[in-house]
Amino acid sequence: MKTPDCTEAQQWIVEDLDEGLVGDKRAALEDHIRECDSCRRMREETARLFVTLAEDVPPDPGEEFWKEYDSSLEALILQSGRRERSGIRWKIVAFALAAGLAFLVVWVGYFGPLGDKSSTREAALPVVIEELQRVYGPESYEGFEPQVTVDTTLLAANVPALRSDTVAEWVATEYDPLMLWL
Amino acid sequence: MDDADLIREFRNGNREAFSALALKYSRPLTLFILKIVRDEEEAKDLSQASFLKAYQGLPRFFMDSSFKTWLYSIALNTVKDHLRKKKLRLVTEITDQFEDPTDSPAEQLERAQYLKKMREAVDRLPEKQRLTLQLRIYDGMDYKEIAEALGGTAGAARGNFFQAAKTLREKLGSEP
Repeated sequence: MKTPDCTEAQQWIVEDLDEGLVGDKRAALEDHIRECDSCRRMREETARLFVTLAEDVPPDPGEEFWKEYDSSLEALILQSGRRERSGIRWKIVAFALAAGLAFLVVWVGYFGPLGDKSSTREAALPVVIEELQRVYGPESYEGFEPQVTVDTTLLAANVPALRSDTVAEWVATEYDPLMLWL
Repeated sequence: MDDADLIREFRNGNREAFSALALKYSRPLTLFILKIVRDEEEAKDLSQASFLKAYQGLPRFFMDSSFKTWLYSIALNTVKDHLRKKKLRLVTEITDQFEDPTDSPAEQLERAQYLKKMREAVDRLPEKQRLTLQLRIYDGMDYKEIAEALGGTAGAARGNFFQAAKTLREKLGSEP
């Protein structure tokens, strides 16, 4: 193998001290170093540096330290596990609360006093009763059953401000036995 | 049982498997951190914080590297964050523990001066070079492991190590 120049040799020196060179490469490096003071000095300096770096380590902190370390790490992990489980529980509770709240908001908005449809329904009531009386005779609305077919289009036509679906909705909600039960 | 088996056990709900991993790596990892921060309490806190992150992140660890390098990469990021917050890198105090009592006072002084200069020079290395050097020399990691822990390729890790060695030698070479 060709003897390396100084740049290459210095690269090989680090490689040799780090991982170890073998065979021809090592022999070629040794040949170069024998002839070159600068690379020989560089090898000594690098070797000293590596040895000092490797030795420059703080002492082991001792058994007491490790005992305390192990117990506090175990406690930390246990605590983290508990926090994780309680976090999941809280997520479920928060989801249930959010769903309940959303349902309540929708329910109040739609059926409650704030619902803008309620006033329309109230406005439709006398008109619907009047129409029921006209079509089925006086007092007929008292025995009104949801299955009785009511021509909601006809009812709505009597009051231009009312749409037939509003009247249909009124009939459905006001006379639905399930809604009455609720 | 190797690390992969323990990780599988942990994923199947056996929390004890993590304790086995912690038992295996807590000392080398803490000692490695101690070599960087040079404070036992800090090393303990940083090492435990790293294990806690590993515990929480283990379900999402895809085993595309070894558990060891994954744990070390967590620890290195934790240490880097800590040092950035503290706005210091290495403590460069010289302590008595490195003195060899068989050396003459002049030799001890010379050695202490060299050590001080070396720590300062290490401290001034770019972060990646410094950590590569420390992982290689203190923990004997190969370049593939270093690349996995720090990011990048094995070739780049090797380049960082060689560059760090060159810089340090140039700074310390002319020292007595």
